[in-house]
Amino acid sequence: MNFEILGGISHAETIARGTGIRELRRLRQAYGAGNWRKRKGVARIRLENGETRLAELHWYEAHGIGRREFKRKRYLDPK
Amino acid sequence: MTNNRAPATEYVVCVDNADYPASLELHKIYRTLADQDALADGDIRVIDESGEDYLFPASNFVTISPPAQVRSSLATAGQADDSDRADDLPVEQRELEHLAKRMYEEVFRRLEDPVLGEVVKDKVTVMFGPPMVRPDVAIVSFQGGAGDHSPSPRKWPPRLVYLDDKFRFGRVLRYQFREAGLYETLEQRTVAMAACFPEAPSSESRLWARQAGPRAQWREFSSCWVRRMLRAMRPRAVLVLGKLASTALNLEGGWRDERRRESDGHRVFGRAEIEDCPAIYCHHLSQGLNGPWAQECLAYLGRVVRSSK
Repeated sequence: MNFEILGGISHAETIARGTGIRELRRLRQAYGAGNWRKRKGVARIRLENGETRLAELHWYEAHGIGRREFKRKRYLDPK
Repeated sequence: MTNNRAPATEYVVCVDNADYPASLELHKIYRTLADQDALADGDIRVIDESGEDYLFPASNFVTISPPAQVRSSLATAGQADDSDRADDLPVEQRELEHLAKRMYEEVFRRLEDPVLGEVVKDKVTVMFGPPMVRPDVAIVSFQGGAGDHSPSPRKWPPRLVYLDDKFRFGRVLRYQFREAGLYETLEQRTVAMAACFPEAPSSESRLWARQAGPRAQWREFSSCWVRRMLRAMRPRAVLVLGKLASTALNLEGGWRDERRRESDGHRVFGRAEIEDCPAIYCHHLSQGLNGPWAQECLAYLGRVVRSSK
């Protein structure tokens, strides 16, 4: 991951679960079977160039496995 | 920023998916969306396996310039991907949900019947959770005690209500499944149905199990639908809880390798088949009858489930 999450993630919510996740098969292959959910939330992140940005993040999460593959959807603050 | 997106589409090949094995496939061609801000940060906006666009490190990709014929083919593939997104349930699951809706509709029609509706004094439990294609376990008990508070032809409980703390049966079931190492199965790959949809106090369960007339009609109607749903869902194993459920499903007399409790002769284990699925008998857990034999039943259940995978 080429960014670091600073502090906690706010406004976290589930946007898809189970068969509603298009890449469910790939998740199971990569991390194992679980009650997979796709989540989104807002967090402040630090990029590799040292810049901090407020970003909407999406990630996958399953009980007993944890959070996987944080992805940046968009930045919420002006550059 | 996403605001700077231009309609121009470029194609890239993923050369590093180490951080995103589920979202990106190595050596696969992906479409990108123009995002000048992202490029300035060393990122690239790629439509990944989820069908959505995200920012990824540009170093994970190599831009390619496919020939016109390949570009046209890729564009068509992209459109096909987008149309798939609108319909992300597998066909089997959709058919199953359609069947479950029909079941609910028939239940509601029966509730409106003056004779059949008259005997239903409590809630009606059709399913204790959503239907599921090829679940590991289908639990069938005789009558619900948990309840489907708002059964609807278009809606069923989003999760297994047996897992809810409010219900005694749920706590015992959860404990036993956890002890048997099957909690994940219970939580994620288990469906549950009642062999008799109308609920009733346990003091009246024998009335519902034996009496002729409208109660018998409900019983036969419910057990027919349970069998039909089992055929459609194809569980790896069916756990039949208690003699009343076994009787309603017409399994009495068909159990093999029966084990009975010495103190009172109650059956505590048996195996059979129902709708081409292995069935395991377990004494009903809700009346305090949840001793070590329940663990033996669940241990056998676990072996059946694992051996079918």
